Amino acid sequence: MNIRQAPQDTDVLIVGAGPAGGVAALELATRGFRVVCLEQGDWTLPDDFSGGKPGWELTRLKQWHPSPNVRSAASDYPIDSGDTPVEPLMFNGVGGSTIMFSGHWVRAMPSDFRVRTLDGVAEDWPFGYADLRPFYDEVTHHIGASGLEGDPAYPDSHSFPLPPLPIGKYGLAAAKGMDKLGWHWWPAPNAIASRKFKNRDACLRYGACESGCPVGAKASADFTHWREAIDAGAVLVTGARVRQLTVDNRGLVTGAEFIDRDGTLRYQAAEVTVLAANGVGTPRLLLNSTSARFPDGLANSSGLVGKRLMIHPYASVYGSYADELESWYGPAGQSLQSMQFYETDTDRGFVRGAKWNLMPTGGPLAQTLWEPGQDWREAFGPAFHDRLRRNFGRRAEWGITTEDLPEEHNEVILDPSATDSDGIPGVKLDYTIGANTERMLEFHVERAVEAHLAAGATSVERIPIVRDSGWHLLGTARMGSDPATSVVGEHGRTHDVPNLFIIDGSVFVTSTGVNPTATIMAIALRAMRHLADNRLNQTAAV
Amino acid sequence: MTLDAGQRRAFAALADVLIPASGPMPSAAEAGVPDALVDQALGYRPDLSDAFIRALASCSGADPEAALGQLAADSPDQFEALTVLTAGAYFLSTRVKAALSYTPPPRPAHEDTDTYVDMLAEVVDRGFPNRCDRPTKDSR
Ligand SMILES: Cc1cc2nc3c(=O)[nH]c(=O)nc-3n(C[C@H](O)[C@H](O)[C@H](O)COP(=O)(O)OP(=O)(O)OC[C@H]3O[C@@H](n4cnc5c(N)ncnc54)[C@H](O)[C@@H]3O)c2cc1C
Repeated sequence: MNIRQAPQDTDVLIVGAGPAGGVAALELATRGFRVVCLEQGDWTLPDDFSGGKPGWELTRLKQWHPSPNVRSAASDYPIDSGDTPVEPLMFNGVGGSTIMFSGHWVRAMPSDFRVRTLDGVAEDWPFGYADLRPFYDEVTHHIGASGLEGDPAYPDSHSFPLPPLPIGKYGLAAAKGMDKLGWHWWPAPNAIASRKFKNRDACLRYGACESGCPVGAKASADFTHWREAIDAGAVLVTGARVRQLTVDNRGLVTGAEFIDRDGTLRYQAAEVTVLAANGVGTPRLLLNSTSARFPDGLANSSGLVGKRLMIHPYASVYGSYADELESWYGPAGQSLQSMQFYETDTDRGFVRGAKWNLMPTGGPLAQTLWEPGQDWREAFGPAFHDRLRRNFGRRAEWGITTEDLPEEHNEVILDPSATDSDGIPGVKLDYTIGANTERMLEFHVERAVEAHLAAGATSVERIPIVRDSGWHLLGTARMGSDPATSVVGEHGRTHDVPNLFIIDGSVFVTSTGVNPTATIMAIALRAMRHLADNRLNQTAAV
Repeated sequence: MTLDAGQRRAFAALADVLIPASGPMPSAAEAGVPDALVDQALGYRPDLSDAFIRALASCSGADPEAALGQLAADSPDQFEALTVLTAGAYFLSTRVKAALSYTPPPRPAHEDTDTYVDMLAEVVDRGFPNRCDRPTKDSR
């Protein structure tokens, strides 16, 4: 096959232009490395998104849906999710999934890194909260997060460069309920600009964060990292889908075969390769990169590539209130967060816990959708107006992000029966919710009902497991010090291939119970700074 | 995609059953849903047009209530397409927006800390049932 050569003399090849790839590109390019990133998707601009436009509520259910299986864009790849109760969600393009993320900017707790020691389950991480803290601080100030210093749930009083976003009328109502119960709450930290910050405008409260910010206020990685990385010399190739990583006879990775926008197979050589393709895309690529030397996929001597998938099963409890609470306003984004039930209390019948976020509930169409299986008269006919009156502007969500534990049977496998638009195999997820997490969900849902009732809700609706909630894709190439039981070391270098790094959510040892992007970016920064600092000792392909 | 006259008539027969008038809220037909608005909605969601047309064909000529019940039970994808487009078109109507009487975004993200700062002092006083693994100066 005729393979065209792409630019030579590349020190570092990055696969994936999400936030992890962005952190790598900016750190390495500013430190003088010649960086090329291959990204299968394209750039999006604030004007491309439908938020704030008449078609928003209709198009967010299709063209701007967070499930690649629903969007089915050319940049997406098929993911068979038939055997998982949770649909995997992501965006494939510059900025990666932060184009669609809600921007909840939450750092993990110290206990998250020590669950074996504290709770006797899973494994401890090879580093702790204190090791990561300077990187959390640096990333938080770099991306322009909004929040309020002093949350007593955390052991330290970390700061934010921007003041908190408004919690809104519904946030105030919920906070009063939490106070009645004596439960923890705090104005939530968000990766959304409450004031103009660097190249971003201030939030205009469209509430469309999850279908792309129409204002350019959200800290998606295209804004926070990629423009700056390109200014610093990084080369970002879009419409470039990596099919396979190649290796030499020393077992080093030499670069990647990719298919460009015109369908031409090309080759990018590099001395070092960094994977930042997310917890599904990275194992997909490693498992598809088989060779005589690596018959089970690259960096997979442990057999753990693709295994231990964690996805944070998510429950929603909606409360409807008699008062008008303007819950159509964003950000969405979180108004409040609560860590009241985050830490283990074995009296509850499970270990670990969950983070709660209070969220708005969107526009009028979102209040009136019919669910398959529902009697049509519950949603349409006279009931249409009853629901609209009861819910529009008067409904708020306590969302519950649970910490699921790593289990080897939860995995991402290649699925050659379905291919993407470039003929590369898609993947299949095999995932079940563990017994500990089931009990955790039940407990938290009932507490969230109590929180709404204490706040004065007139009715509550429980969704014990939200299907479209697989936005956190973690654990499929875990970190650790033992090559027999882990894929990468603490700085992201794979044990098997000394010039191959992984820096996305795949490396999580356990899932933590918080939204992972602050942690992913802090880990990526720590890893890439270590690579840059130790460049003279780094093995490289020639 | 545009509806032919028969399809539009079939849709009009269903639209007011799905969304009747109520208080200040107009019915779907009064709001103009079977006219230009459904075309606009289909413009945003061309992927739904096949299922929508099939839904109209399934219901055509039958008693609307019975037909809708049957459609929801037997062909949920068609019922979903029909209702998403009907409700989506309804909320595009200026009459409906006025009747909803709300101020939609954009709205500046003014800080509202003053509304809860006193309450926060209590949250801080309550402290946090944290565990013993707080990092100290000399340990993790
Ligand atoms: C709807 C939604 C809401 C979310 N909300 C939050 C939140 O509130 N807070 C939070 O912390 N997190 C949230 N997340 C998760 C967050 O977006 C991710 O944790 C984060 O984006 C992961 O970063 P990443 O760089 O590892 O991967 P991604 O951001 O997924 O980027 C991976 C990139 O790699 C590219 N890629 C993959 N395979 C290939 C290939 N073979 N060739 C070329 N390119 C490839 C993809 O196209 C993609 O652009 C949300 C996610 C979604 C979808």
